[in-house]
Amino acid sequence: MQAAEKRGVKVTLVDSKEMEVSVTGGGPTPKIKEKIVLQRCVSHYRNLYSTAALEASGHTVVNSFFTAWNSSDKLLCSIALKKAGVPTPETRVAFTEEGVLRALKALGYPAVLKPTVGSWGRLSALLKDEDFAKAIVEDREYMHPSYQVFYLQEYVKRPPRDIRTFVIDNKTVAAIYRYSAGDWRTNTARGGKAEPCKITKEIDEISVKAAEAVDGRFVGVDLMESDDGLVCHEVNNTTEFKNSVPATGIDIQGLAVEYLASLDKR
Amino acid sequence: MNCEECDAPLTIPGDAIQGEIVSCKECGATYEVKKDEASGSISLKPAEKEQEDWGE
Repeated sequence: MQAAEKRGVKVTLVDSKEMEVSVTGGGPTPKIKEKIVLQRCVSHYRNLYSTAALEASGHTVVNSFFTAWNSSDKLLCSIALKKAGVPTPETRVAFTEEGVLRALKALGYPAVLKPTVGSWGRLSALLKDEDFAKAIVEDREYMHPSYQVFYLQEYVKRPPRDIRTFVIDNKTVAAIYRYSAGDWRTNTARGGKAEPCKITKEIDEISVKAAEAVDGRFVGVDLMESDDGLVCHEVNNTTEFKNSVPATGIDIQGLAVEYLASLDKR
Repeated sequence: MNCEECDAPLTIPGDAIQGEIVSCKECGATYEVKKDEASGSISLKPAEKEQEDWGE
């Protein structure tokens, strides 16, 4: 908000909890006068469907429904990355214990199991052996069916950190290393530490290509340093930056505001 | 305004905006800032609890 104010860009806050949208004519109530909408909802479903409804009402949403659909779901994101030729860890999907065990045999132990949506690292598990995998699958059978879509990924041998880059309008504007806080997961939401990371040519190229894979306009791209070079494992369509701005000194929110304001003039 | 959980006084920043999350320094309970457009008065309501689909 302050970044927008500083640049003389008028912003209206819209709380999705208080909004309803007629998708057959009429648009959102309360009315949104502005054409450009920056989507910041942390709830996957609310984010996805409010984006669809606002686009149906004629708004330009950053990021678009296409981007949200193809990046907020980790399985669809892996498919999009592979299709675009972005190096990504080997990933499999299974729907039953039998399928999971077969997939894990191909991936090798340990392997990573993640929910396809949401997270902040929540319910992600490092499956170390078959007994552990069976126990986790059994637990998931008592959960919502969405948790029985088993998204499995090779465990990439890497330093105890990963890289989060920020891509705005096809430019890599900032990057941080995320160090884990005594956990195999590096999410800063789980207490992981952020440190500045130099944007090398390799980091820039893979980040931009990953953003393009899902047509992301303002996204966070997660990279790992594997023995074979950088791999991209996620693109985040509603990227958080509160730990990255102090770590890098880069005004990510200001750059985002400038991009959004430029859209209004196009 | 005091915390509904532990009754400690809550500090609301002077430049707080609609929807901002304020935490109780004593017990960590979270509240959402509600601003009345007409009068400009501020109130707090318990913030939403983290849901399963929250996150990046």
